[in-house]
Amino acid sequence: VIRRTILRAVVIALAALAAGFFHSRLHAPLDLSFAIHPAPPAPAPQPVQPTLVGQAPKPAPVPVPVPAHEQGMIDLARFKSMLASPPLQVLDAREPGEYNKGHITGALSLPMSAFLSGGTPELVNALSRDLPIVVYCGGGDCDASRYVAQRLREMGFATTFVYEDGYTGWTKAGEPVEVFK
Amino acid sequence: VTSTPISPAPSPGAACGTPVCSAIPLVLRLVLGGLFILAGISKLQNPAVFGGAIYKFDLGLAESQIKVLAFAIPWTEIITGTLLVLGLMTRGAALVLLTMLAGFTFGIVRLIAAGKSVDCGCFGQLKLFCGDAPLGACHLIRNGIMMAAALVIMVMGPGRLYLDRCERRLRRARDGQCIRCGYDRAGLPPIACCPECGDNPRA
Repeated sequence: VIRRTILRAVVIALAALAAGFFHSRLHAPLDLSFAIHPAPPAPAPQPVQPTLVGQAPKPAPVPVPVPAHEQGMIDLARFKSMLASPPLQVLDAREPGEYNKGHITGALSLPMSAFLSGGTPELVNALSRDLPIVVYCGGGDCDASRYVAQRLREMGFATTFVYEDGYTGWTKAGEPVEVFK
Repeated sequence: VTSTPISPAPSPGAACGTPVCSAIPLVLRLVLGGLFILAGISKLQNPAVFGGAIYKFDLGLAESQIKVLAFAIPWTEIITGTLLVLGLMTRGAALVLLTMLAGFTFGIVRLIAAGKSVDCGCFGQLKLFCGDAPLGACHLIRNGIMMAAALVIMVMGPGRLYLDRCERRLRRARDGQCIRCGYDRAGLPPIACCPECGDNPRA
């Protein structure tokens, strides 16, 4: 029985791997760039400055880190400052059930699943390309907001940001929320 | 020919005798299989997001490998889930699920130990059981319960209402064995009753 069980498990695993492999070949190439943030290029080595004897060598220039918001990520403080100077379009990338249970006041629901059918969600046509957009999801390291933000950028919404702390961070900070019953 | 009746070989689903006992694996099969079918379908609806979740497990895989895994893992879940629900190759399917769950749990423990907060993408968009909670005890307990269920199915077999029975009968017929008890019928006339269990092949 043990031998047959192991043999069958191997057959099942191979069949599943084959199905996955062929499906991945038939599917359009996956774009994982929203998850894979390439590290900024390492600074080129600086030529050694010739120094006179007895003179202290010049300190090497310190590379300036790229601010998070320039990569499209914003924290609570920056989000609040953007909210304080409207107009701003705030989008909730969670599923409608979670949105109805509670969302950031004034946010509109644009769940990630709305993009899965392949078409353009209706709400996207109502958004303005001239105004900044902030997308959020559950918080932590959830992917829905990054995914929606990437799709929006591809559609020409260049000033799209992701509020990285998400709804969890917002409620923890005691900020106002709306509930639809 | 033995004079004392020999009970037929135990069926693969008969690890216990009482109806209630044999219903346990059936319930576990349906629940676990259904959950994994749902999880697999949910992941296949958006493989890019699941691929992103795999990437964050930091397994040292190349992007091309992640892209294949983003399809292979959901397909494994759908196939094993379907086999569990049908009760076909039940123990093998349970072993695959057990191995997969052990791998997921190991990955989660690694991330927790590294202090990383990652959306595991375990149930795709469904967010079952642990919702948006950061990786932690909830995920480990959930996986532990599912692993225990898979182990019970492996040990007890499919229980009731399973297709393994049909597969076993076909295999015995092909191998020239008594369909009921597995006795080797080599040398017996085709219409002779089984000398072990008395099964009548004409019936």
